[in-house]
Amino acid sequence: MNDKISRRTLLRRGAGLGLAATALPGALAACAGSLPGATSGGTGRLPNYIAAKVPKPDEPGNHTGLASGYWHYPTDLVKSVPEVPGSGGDVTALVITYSPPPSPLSGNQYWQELNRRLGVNLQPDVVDEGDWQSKLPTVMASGNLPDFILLFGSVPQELAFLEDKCEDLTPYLAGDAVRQYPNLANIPTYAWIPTSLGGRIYGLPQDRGRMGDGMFIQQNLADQAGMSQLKNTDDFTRLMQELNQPKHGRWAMGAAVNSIYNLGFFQQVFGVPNNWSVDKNGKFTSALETDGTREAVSYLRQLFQKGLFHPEANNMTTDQAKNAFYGGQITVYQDGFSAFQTTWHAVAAVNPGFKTRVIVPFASSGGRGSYYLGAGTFGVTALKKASKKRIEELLRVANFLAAPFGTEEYFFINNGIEGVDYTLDAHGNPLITQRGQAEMTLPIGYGGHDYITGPPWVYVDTQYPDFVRTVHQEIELQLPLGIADPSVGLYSGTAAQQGATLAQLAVDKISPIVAGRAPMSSYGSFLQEWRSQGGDQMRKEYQQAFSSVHKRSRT
Amino acid sequence: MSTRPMWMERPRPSTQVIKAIILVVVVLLVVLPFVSIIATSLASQKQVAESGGLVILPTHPTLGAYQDIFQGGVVTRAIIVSGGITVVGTLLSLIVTAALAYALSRPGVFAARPVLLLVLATLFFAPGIIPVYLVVKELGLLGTYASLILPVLVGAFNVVVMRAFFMGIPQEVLDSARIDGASEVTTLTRIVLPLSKAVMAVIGLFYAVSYWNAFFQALLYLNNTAMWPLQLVLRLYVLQGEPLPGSTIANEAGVPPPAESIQMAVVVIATIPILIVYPFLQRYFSRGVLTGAIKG
Amino acid sequence: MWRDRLMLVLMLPGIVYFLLFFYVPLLGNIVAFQDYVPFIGFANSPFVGLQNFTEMFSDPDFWQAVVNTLEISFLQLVFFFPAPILLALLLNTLISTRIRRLVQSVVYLPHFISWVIIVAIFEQILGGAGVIDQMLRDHGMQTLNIIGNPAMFKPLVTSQVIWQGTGWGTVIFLAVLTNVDVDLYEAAAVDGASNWRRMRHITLPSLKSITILLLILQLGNVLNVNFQQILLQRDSVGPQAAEVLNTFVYYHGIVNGDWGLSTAVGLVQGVVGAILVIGANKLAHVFGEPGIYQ
Repeated sequence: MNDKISRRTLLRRGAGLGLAATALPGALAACAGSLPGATSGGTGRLPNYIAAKVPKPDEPGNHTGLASGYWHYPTDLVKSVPEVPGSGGDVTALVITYSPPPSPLSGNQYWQELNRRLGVNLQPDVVDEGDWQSKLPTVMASGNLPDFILLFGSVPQELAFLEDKCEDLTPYLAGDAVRQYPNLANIPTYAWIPTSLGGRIYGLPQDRGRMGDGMFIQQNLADQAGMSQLKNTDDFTRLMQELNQPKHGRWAMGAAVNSIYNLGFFQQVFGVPNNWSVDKNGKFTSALETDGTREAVSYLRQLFQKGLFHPEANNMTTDQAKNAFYGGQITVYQDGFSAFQTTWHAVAAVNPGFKTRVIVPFASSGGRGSYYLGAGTFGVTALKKASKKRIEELLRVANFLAAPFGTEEYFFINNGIEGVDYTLDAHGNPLITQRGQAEMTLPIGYGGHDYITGPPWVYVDTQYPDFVRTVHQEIELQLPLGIADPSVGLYSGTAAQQGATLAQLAVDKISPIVAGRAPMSSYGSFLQEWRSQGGDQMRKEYQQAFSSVHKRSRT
Repeated sequence: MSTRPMWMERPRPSTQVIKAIILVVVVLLVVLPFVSIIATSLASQKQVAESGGLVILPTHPTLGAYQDIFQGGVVTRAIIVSGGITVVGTLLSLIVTAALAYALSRPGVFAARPVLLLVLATLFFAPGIIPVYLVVKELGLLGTYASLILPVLVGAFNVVVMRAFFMGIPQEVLDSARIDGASEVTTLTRIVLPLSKAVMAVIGLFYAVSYWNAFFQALLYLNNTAMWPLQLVLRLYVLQGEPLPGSTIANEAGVPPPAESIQMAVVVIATIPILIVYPFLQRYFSRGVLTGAIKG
Repeated sequence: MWRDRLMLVLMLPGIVYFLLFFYVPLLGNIVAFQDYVPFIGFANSPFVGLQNFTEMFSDPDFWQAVVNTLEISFLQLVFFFPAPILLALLLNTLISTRIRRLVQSVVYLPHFISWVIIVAIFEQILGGAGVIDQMLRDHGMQTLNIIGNPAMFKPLVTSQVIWQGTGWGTVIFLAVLTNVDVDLYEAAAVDGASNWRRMRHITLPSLKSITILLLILQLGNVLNVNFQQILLQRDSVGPQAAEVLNTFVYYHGIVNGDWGLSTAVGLVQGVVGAILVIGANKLAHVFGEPGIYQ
């Protein structure tokens, strides 16, 4: 199950449901993207990007959003951490997990070896996502914080918490200071932007690339219909009508719960800004307030009326939507772009004849659409206040965990010990053993689950080299359309406190409009409610934060 | 096998047929979804995707989901932990609950009414998660197995139900015991408890099931995964889908079992122990316990 | 008091438990009157008076949630509450112990299935892409449209509860029935009482007290309906039809870490529940029943 990119994803699974969390579409996530490079909303000094030396990728990328791709494991691994980072003591961490717990330390050779290489006794406190929103505040209230604390989801009074209880990492990491930790310096700048609040660096990122969501399509059907390239919404409607065959148990479109019938994709089509827009006077406008969103809603309403949605659309769990797509019950649905690889693999196992692609957003009336860039990081991991010596030790540990693909450290974290956790196949690629699968599920790196901090995002697929090529092409097509969310890196207490409720308000009020249970005219009253319940307050806070950061950067 | 007593007339065939139909329908309504749960736990990704979720009959049954869950011994260990917690917790809970309920069931006991109200109020108001956490922390219970039992030791509902049962024991029975010179303790252990096997079985079942199903205490109070009980471990298997992209990991087992199969296998694994224990409890639900005791 | 010393000793562990793990932390409910911030603590979070309550009472969505909750509770009271009693009575009339035990040990199983799976099962049968609708569609007939139809939402969740809880609910009633003196039946039969009369005059009265007791407790719960069950299906019909108090609290409080509001709603649920129970208990006394306390 993919973790999601939005930092303040609405956590909607109640205690103990086996559902995937669903990230909200860009316009609704309180914090879902950022501008590449210098034009970002408001950050102080970030760590300088210094590329690490790694073996040459099969599909080379860059550090502005095109992740490198590999379909071979390089044989010339680089050692990136020459000295043991830790001094032998305990290191605790509160992290999220999407995996079963690892086998206990006493019999777990991988964990023992990891501790030996890190030079610490790593004790992660792991919590599944469904229970995260119960555990995080409890730990915050308990008074004994772990060394690393992942901030993800709703963090009340986040800025005050960071200022009071967590170490300001600016002196350790800003600018060239990050050279001390070369693997952290190798994390792309976009991933650092959300770690900075009020102009200070308060945590470590978990890079997830630049991509946000993707509209997955069973491209072979579009090709058959002679509509490989969609140019405008009329094309899209026609294709959907063509593909919709309820009598044969196939519907054109699916939609996961909270996606408002894939609204995010259509906002891109209708030229809506990513979550917020800011004009040259520093005035913020929410995506929800634009005409484009209204047009997108009205368009979806038409699609719904034509019966193009699966009957369970908008109430499917992400798992159900995925399965419906793998099985061909739906031909189009929106998911995290990061689901591309698992979708590719699952489709290959279920329906090898299908051709999975992501629709490049077109513009409603033709021409280039826009693409919402992702937040860049999964969450932010803060460090408990401590002595300089201790912080430096913890950052050295983080530096080890951030070792990029192609290093010995990365190889060890992801494959464990030869003969125990993996064996080599005929091509020299590692094959994880059953024992390895049971030992390596500490959520600190294996399988991309790097919830303290981790390496830059890469696409590795030894089984399907075609996937690596395809994903590269798709990213190259979409990145140029990318627009970022200018509110990333700006602190709004209301967004932290009310963001999830406001996002749910949008789900609750817009979905009935699409489904025809409420008139189009009720959009206006929704907007009023949204503004009075916190939207206006958020705008005010973002504007203040924006102007104060800009003032500071000018002086 | 008929155990129809002498005095009972032979039931009319029409009634028999109606009863049989109702029971068959009820049983099918329960059994069919269960069959589907088991079938799905054995199904392949292809079948799950094609059926849109639940499978009725697996075409190529595989134990992949179960192998996936049991590999590494984490689940086996958690079953032992949960079993231990359930046995110890249920015994402790039953003892404390029965003692409290019995004392509250006797007429005219000092302070019984205010204590009963104190218990009843807990049905309506709930303390927050954080305050309970702080109490557990102050008592030094964090990271101990006791933290899985003590904070949920007594349920007010169970006290109320048990008290109602105790009150249903005819006063004459207790009086006659007392006339025979039995002390309060003897009355409790020799008369009341043997008469209450059925309610003990029921309340014991309630406690056992809640200990067996509990995960929330463990989630909050234990941060060492090696101590986790079954349900908390299984929750993570339910969440486990596929590995993240960027690292779709080639493994020896090949294609991982579908999320649905794992989810359903988890249901099966968590339910089987209850399925095994239930018939033993059923013995206490048999008729005539009271009569036998009085006559004997 | 000395006379009752044994009883007091018996009570003691239970009392200590409730004080320690219930009443002490209950003091934390003070956050209903605070703008509580976990890392600042109970002592230092600012007091806001009744703001959490006024915010809640002035929100029309809150009242919509109250109405939905009461409607669902009412349906459950009428259709779900009697179901286990009827099934227990039916099982009780079975002469064959073997069949009785077999049925008994099958019907309680759904209690152990989580709501995620129950909801999925119902969707697959009754949903718009489910078995029934797909069959109707194949034959060119009008589809049922049960799931996703706001008007059907409440009956749907009630039927799910009946499916999940009926068998389990029989456990308590069957235990009561085991305590009925068989001699009573025999004596009645000898006196010529029919099967039906024995049921009416012996079996049913024996269930009266426990039924009233459970009914009163159920009343105390009218503002609580199954959170997970509703949460999972709420978006298929939208909050207008499906928001209940527990999901309201979730979306307005818990997802934001707003403990003040969550606790305030909890207090309201508790007060209403307590009032209903006290009232119902009084009413039971009027009819000469012991109720849950005297």
